[in-house]
Amino acid sequence: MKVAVLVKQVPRTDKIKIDKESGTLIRKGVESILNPYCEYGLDLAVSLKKKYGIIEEITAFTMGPPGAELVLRRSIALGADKGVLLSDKAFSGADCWATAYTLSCGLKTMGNPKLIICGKQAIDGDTAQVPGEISEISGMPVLPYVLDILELTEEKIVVVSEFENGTVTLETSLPAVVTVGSGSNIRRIPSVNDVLKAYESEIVVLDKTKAGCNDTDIGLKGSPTRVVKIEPAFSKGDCEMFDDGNFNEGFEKIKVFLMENNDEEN
Amino acid sequence: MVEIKTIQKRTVKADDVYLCDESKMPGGKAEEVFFPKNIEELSSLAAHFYSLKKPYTVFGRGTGITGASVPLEGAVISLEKMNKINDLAHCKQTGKPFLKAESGVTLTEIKTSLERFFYPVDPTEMSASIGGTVVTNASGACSFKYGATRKWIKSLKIVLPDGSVERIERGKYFADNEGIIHFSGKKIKVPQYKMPECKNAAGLYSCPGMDLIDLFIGSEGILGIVGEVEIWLEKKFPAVSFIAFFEDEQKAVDFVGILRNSDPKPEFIEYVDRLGLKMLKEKSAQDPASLNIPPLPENSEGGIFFDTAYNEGNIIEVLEKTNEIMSQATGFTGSFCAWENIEKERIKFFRHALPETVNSFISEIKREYPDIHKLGTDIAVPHENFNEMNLFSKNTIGRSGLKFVSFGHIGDSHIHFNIIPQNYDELEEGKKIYGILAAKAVELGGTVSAEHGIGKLKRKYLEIMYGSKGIEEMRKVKKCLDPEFLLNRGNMFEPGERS
Repeated sequence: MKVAVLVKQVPRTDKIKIDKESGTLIRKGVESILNPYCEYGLDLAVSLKKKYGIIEEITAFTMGPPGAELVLRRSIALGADKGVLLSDKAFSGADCWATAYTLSCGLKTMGNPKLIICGKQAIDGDTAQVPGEISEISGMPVLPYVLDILELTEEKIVVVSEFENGTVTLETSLPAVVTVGSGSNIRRIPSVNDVLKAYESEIVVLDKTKAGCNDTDIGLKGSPTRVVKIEPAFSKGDCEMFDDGNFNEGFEKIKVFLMENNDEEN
Repeated sequence: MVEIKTIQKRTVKADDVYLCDESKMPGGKAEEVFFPKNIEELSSLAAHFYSLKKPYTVFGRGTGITGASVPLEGAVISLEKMNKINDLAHCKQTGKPFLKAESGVTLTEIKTSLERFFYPVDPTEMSASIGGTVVTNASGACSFKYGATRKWIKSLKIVLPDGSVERIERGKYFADNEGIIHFSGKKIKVPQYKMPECKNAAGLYSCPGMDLIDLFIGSEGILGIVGEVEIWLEKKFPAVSFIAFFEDEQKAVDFVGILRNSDPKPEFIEYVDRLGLKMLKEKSAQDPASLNIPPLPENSEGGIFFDTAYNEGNIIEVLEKTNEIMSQATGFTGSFCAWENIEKERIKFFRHALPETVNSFISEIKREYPDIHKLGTDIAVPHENFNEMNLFSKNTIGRSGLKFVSFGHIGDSHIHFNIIPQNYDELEEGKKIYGILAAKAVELGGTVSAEHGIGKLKRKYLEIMYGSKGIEEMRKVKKCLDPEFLLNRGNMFEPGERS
């Protein structure tokens, strides 16, 4: 079985600043990293490969400028077998839908992997749209916010997913898309041998022709959404402080609030 | 001359920050602290104290750990307002880049002012002032490749104890055949002892035909006040960070012999011993987020950290060579490797976590025994004698039953043994052992202080190194430039010793 992991290059969020005028991220001079949620997805793929003997190959896919190959090298250092970069000037300006379309084209060229694992969202755009749109475009189910995989065979997958009020066990036939929203906080560090392998690996680069994309479905042309304006969010909440002097009053107030707003059945 | 009353000053309070430095040495005493804004004000203050025969201590940023900036009497001059950095310039003859900075500028300020270049002296404590690092000939991990501060000083502007200002450019004043340097109307007879053939920050510099600038570098401020510094810079480049783990400490030490001669030469080579790794593993087990590091390879009882620079085209070559020497090394158990900054920062944090962890242990013990402090050696020896020194230190401390870890700059055959006394009896026992180790280092041609200096806390070890004759030679240099011993009393020599 072939497994694909979709990864994205994003700016380091602990170093970025916001342009006060435009409300957008100032990316100049900011180091790019592998999106942490994508790394969780990669961890899941690697652990599945170890646990189930049926996975023959993990391929990391990304769409981006030539420099995005670095996140593919990091993915290989962390356990992917190869990397595919979808890169073409015609891809620029793509929104979620056009990105999902382009990635879907890339996946087809690699023999339609049976399992596609994605991070739940990227930490720069935070849209969380691409995995669901790939599932729509490719006609396969999506299992979101997966915490654990209980069973994996050539035909089906059984997972535990996290939802607002708890967890749920989901089962579907393959191929399918899986999204991952959590993982170990202590990130793995590859060995020298792993990094050497990552740098010696050839990255497959697909332009729009090699990926078999329609000109009208990629980049800005293929993007049905437009960002009209971005405004920074401001906190509007009021805060009432209680300290040693009026602690009991505060405690009572919180107790009453919780009792009045408890919609769970006791 | 600037009128003294126009120079910013204030009275020193009890528990004032200017009465102590990172050494936590108790007993600091001073009346007032002055804050000169430029070299003119600094010179006026020196001349003023000279005319009054008033002793004073110069305070950089208080990051030293030998008490060199702890005042014993008189006044304090803080250099923190002398914090201007000039624009980057290039040497007219060689084209090499350099930077001019006032002595109160911190290493962090220098680092952030540069884009394409860097200052290769990295003594870890980046809040140190450039002036402070000059007078201790500071080094740190990267001295393995780049040498200590001495090598990177283009010129110094010095305020002499009488208030006169002299600019000393390297290559301008040399000792003659009789060991005399003619400078500022004085004949300075430089010490004649032989310096150890390893990294060293103990005692005044000495070598036949020496350059005057080297006398001031590493002088711990006893000969003059550094007012302004010109430092050479290097071009920045990317580097890969590695940790190699080994099944025992000796195999880790043996690997350093291979690594030291590898090509390209690593930026630094650092060591952590079995007990250090154990301490870090325990800390990580208690609170995984505190170190942010995954489990170490199994059976790892010694670790070597190193960074290797690469060009855009040769990262694979660097990785291949490193992989080859690691996989061929005896007792190699595994490695960590990082090339992205965010990941390299994790490895650097892990490397620096051990001294921090030791300090947190000491803080715990201090709750019951407030005067307890760690005993950290600063010994270095020539490479050929490192194994003997290392084994002697481990066995000597080990036999005593005292808790200790060792880590540090093994590339320079310079590792710090940190003894962690649990009570006052152990503290006294540790001090005795410290003296035994210092004597052994000197016997093996090494130094009692490779990077921290002597200051006020390690004076007795200086005599072990240079003997009473050597101390006398140093004292004569001091007397030639500062006849009343006004400047930084108590550093290197006992405060009462003036002739």
